[in-house]
Amino acid sequence: MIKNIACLLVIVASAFPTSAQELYASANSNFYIPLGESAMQTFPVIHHDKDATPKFSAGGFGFGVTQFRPLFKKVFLELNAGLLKYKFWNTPMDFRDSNNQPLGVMNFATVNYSLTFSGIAHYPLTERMSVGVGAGFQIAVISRSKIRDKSEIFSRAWVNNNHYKAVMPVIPIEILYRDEKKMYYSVNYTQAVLNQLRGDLAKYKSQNFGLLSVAVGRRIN
Amino acid sequence: MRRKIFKFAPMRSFSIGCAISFAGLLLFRCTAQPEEVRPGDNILSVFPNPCYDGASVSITNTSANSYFVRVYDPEGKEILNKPVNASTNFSVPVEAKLVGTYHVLVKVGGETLETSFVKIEK
Repeated sequence: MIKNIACLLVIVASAFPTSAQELYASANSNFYIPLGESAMQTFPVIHHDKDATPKFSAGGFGFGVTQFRPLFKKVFLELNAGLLKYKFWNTPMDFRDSNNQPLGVMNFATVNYSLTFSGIAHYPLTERMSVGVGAGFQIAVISRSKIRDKSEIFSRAWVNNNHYKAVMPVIPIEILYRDEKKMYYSVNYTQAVLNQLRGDLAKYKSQNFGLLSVAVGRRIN
Repeated sequence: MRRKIFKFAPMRSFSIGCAISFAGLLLFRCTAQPEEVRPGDNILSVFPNPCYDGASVSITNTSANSYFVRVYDPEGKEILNKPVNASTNFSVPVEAKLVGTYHVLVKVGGETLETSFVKIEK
């Protein structure tokens, strides 16, 4: 897995030659929108829970590199590579003791880390603003849920979620604004193409997601 | 002396406005946790949850004599697929299995019920 990721990073790095005219470092805040599972919900930018430790927890964010290069006529290509953390409220879980007595229902957040790669073809609406659509894929690095029992029967525990697909093709749609001060700002919606679940479970259950993100980039060359 | 003329940049203002509205909407709309499901409403239950070595599947409020259980491990692999008599509690052994979230699907009287449980380390 690590070898595969390293190979991919080398391939992506080769797509960003040092002589490129417009290379940006970017950061984003993102919002996971669960589709096909009504009990799941979007996690906010910052969540506060007075009963939790720590009381504040951050939502989704990511970092990466972006390159802009001309494609043909007015159309230009945006290439992205980055690491993304996204977070969502998973399906609430009904905790019970060994006598089937309810201990409470817990809402818990799931955190996914993914490597993301995409190419977006942009058409300029004005001199600085453009809209684009493209294709890409995300490679799941790890998905974890923090299980915390409010009745304190057991302490907090992290469990890995391995029932998600390792590679997910995505379709990004984006509105981009590039200013004259070497900065860019974008609003991006990325739609996962396939059922997120894998294995036998995928035959009986379907989960999908959209990812809404606001990004800012600073030119680095 | 010439007066300074304020140049309005409509597109930039528009995009900044959109970004602020969008961020504000998401910041304040998503701060609530999902509504809690009352445990008493559940027809299908798995206990104990979380578990270390095994969990029992129980269905209440059903008139069916039997039901069909499917259990999936944390990798989405089906580890159990069998009909069960409704009068007895049915146990899912997970002692030698992976730590993580298990999904349980039960077909009873034409209806599919679904729940999940967690196996944690001792």
